[in-house]
Amino acid sequence: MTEQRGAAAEKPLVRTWWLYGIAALAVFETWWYVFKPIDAGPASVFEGFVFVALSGLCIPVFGLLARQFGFTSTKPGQIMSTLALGFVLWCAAEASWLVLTVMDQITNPSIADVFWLAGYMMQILALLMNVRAIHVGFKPSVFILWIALSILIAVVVISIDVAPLLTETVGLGTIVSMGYPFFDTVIIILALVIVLKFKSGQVAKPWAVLVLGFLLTAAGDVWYMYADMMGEYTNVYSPMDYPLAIGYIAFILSGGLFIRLYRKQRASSRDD
Amino acid sequence: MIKGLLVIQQGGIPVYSFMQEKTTDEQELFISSFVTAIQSFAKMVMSREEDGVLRVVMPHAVFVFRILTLHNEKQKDVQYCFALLADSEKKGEDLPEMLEYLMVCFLAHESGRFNKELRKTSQDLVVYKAFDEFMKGFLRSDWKTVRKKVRPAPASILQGILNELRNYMPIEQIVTLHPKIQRLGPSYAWLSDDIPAGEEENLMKKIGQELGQTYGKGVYESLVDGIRKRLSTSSSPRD
Repeated sequence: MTEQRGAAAEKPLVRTWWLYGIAALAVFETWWYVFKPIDAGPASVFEGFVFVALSGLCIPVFGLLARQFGFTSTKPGQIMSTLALGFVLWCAAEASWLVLTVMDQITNPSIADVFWLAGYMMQILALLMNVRAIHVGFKPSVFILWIALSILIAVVVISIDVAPLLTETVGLGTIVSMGYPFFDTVIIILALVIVLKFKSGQVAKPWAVLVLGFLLTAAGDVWYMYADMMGEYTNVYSPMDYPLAIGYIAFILSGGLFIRLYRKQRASSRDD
Repeated sequence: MIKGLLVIQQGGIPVYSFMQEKTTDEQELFISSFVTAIQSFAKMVMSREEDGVLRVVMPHAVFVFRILTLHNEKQKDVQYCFALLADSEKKGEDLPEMLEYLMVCFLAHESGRFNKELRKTSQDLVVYKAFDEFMKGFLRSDWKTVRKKVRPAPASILQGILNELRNYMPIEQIVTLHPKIQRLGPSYAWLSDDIPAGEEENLMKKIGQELGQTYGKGVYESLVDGIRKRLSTSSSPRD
């Protein structure tokens, strides 16, 4: 009996180890960008590795969720599979960016852009599928709020990132660069629909964290574009990389919360 | 390309078979030997009580099996082997997924009449011939469109809910809701038996509570409304 109690007391800690792990990752990233602990040369390679690892961690998490829902046989399975595929492409982008950084061969556009933009398309598709799957209508006031916020965000992103590009000679690099603010705007608008519609039920929490991840990614990306145009971006300890890193951590957290939710429900159904 | 569907009772007796039109003697010979092979294979699989989708790959054919256990009026197990035959597995054609889809459509056909007949271990094979038209339509259609646009008709409110739950819960969770719910494939579940009215009400209440907790209020109610509408439209022309 005492042993059983001991096991029961140990279980919550064991079950939440991954939450502590994610918190530790977030603390580490904050420490890294605030204290800049090592020299720029090795730090830029290490940062690249961290981004590959973070994006790589998202793949099994969302892959596992997709598997739970029978991959493409169900709507949630399709959404999770598409997200997982998006993370595969982003991981490939981070890996190729790391290789290009190490080889000092960064060009505009580069192979990493192909993977990043393809990944964006997958993520947008997944968000779009989820938006379509929510059978909840907008209240008129919420709808007006969504339209107003969407227009505001589009105007801000266009004026920060797109307008300066229009003054340049239009080449392939410029066209590719314009793809990012466009996709960021679409992601933010879709994320807002999910936040505004998906408010009730336990599933709202992991979705909110996922949406936060997308918002951070989009914000980091818009900031990066602006800094790059102004010539202020450096490949190491850049503050605009911090929201991108935290965005990936939010994705991992969201996937973990989804898995925990369905696992808990399965256990409670079995107990009943 | 899909070549046919077979439903075999325990003991190897085929209760339903639908094969694509035969064109050559060679194909005819191939199909008849396939049926014989499946019959003996199904007998062997059922005696071993194996679970899950089984796949046999041959040089010019692939077939996938699934064993379904139903309960008759005496609460005894009645086993059926559903087998799907294809000449090859094309890209985008997920045979286990197609098989579970066809199983749900077969069992729910004519508002669940086939399910009742199978549970009675009916030997009247003519009953199931009504499924031929469905199979012809299925084979003419593109699988991607079918899976996206054609949802299996609900055999009852509860079975309709179980069909729709695949879009809300993982299959592992659905099968834990009641001991008589069994998994058909990657996402569909089927009730192996009738359950008493009170128990059914409790089960539906439990599903409603779980959906409410997970997705918020109103989701279960709108799901049930949709199934009621589909049930009324699918049964009215025949009645």
